[in-house]
Amino acid sequence: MSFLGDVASWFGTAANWWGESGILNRVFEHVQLSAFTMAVALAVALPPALALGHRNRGGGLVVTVVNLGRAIPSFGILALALPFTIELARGIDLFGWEFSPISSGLGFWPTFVALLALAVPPIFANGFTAVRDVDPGTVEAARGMGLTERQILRSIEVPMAMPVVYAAMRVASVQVVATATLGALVAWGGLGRFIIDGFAQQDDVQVFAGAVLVALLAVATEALFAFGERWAIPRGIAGAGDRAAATAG
Amino acid sequence: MRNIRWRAFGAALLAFALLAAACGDDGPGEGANDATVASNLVFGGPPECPTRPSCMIGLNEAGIEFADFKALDSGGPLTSTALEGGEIDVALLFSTNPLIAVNGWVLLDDDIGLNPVENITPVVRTDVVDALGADFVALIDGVSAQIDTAGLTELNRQQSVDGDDPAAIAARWLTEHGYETMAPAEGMGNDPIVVSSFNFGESEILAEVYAQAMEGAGYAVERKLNLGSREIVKPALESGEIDFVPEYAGTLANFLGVSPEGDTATVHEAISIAYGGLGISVLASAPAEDKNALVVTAEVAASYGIDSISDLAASAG
Repeated sequence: MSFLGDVASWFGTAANWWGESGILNRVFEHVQLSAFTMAVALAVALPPALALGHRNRGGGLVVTVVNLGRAIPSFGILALALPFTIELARGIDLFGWEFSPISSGLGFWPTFVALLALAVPPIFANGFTAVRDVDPGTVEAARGMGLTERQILRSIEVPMAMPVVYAAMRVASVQVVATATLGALVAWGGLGRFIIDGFAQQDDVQVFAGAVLVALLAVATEALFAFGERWAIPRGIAGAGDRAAATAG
Repeated sequence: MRNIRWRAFGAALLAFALLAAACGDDGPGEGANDATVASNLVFGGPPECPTRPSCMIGLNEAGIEFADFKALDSGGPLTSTALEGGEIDVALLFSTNPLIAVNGWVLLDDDIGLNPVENITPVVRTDVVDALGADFVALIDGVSAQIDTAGLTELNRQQSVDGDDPAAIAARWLTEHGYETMAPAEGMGNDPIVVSSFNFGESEILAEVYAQAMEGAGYAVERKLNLGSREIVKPALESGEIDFVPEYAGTLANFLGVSPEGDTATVHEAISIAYGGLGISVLASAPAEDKNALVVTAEVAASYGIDSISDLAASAG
């Protein structure tokens, strides 16, 4: 009871909310990294996944390769990425043109690499299979009506694949938010700071508070996607959403 | 209608990615505040640093405020990689880390008394000292007197960089310093002295140095090395399961609940009194210390002209 009381008073302390190491800034950093990762993951994975799904060619191989990424633990990717990001921050020499693409190899970028490897596989695999599995009869009918391949993909296949793609985004986002905690190991901020620092300082209250905050943020992410579903899923096939979400998870 | 929605979505995604990347890329602050040397530098250390008097709290009290702090690891590979890669300018490392010498880094002199003295200090059961007499104490004190920080760092380097065996490293050191390491034909006929160490390389090398010096002088020795942390070593010493272990003065003082403040002699006296009551004698401290130390690269040391911690509080000019 006294432990929970300590946790409550930790949350009640104004100093724990404001400033660079306060809850608000840590939540901002956490959301910033997670959202950036998801944006890049969608931009990188979705277009090729949809295009390959439409042609139903070569995608099986790509899905296998991309899924290999899931076999490597995020922590391992983080550790592997670190020397490379540090080297990048030091500067690279491109045919005599020396520049540093990133200003720091700690923190944001190695964590981003680890999270990207986590987010891309479910988005790619689900995007590919969702488009491929659209009822061939419907696609044939569209073709018969004279729609171009581009029109078929854009106005038939993608909308029909939307529930599965959306469910994959939802799952990936929650995983990314939960895993962004790891960034604290390589000097990134985010909510992981409370857990890593609390552990090092033998401050159990801070560790617990940090874990609660990460869980709350993950649940909030889930809720945001549940709310956004109404907007994102075309009305005509909205009923299929629940079924698709169950398979995509 | 749907087209507009997709384009809006794409544009929002792109805008967000650019925005987040711009914000996320927050490198070391460019010296808006260039009052002191430290305010131009980024400091990297263990995550517990900000709440430790021997770390950030002590530094702040000495007027040293860094531009930024990066929470890394406890003097491990992450911190040294970050210093090597220029991610941080000042690192908290262990003073006998061989990488300091390998990379030509500069260990800042602790002239503000940030860390307690951490001289290597052998401790031995008082009943063993009584049985073996002054010759034994003179032998150990003689060895200790020749172990300095530079020498200890070199021993660590031979292990962690060259991959040598602690026993071989110790034998080489003793030979170089004029000690016999092979047991003479005529032994002392004593009960074996049980020599122990903590569970890290430096402690094992030191235990080997003392053990082989004892053997060279004709004492019978038994080894129980790599025993574990101080939580295991101290009770083993008190119960007589082990007789001898090379200790670290400041950390031992903290562990025994006495003040680690003051110079080597003061701390030595404090731990002698505390351990003496438990039947353990504290022998003379070696000049060598292994403690937390602030380390900078040679470039940083040269460009700011710093070689001690107090220099960090000086005006950057």
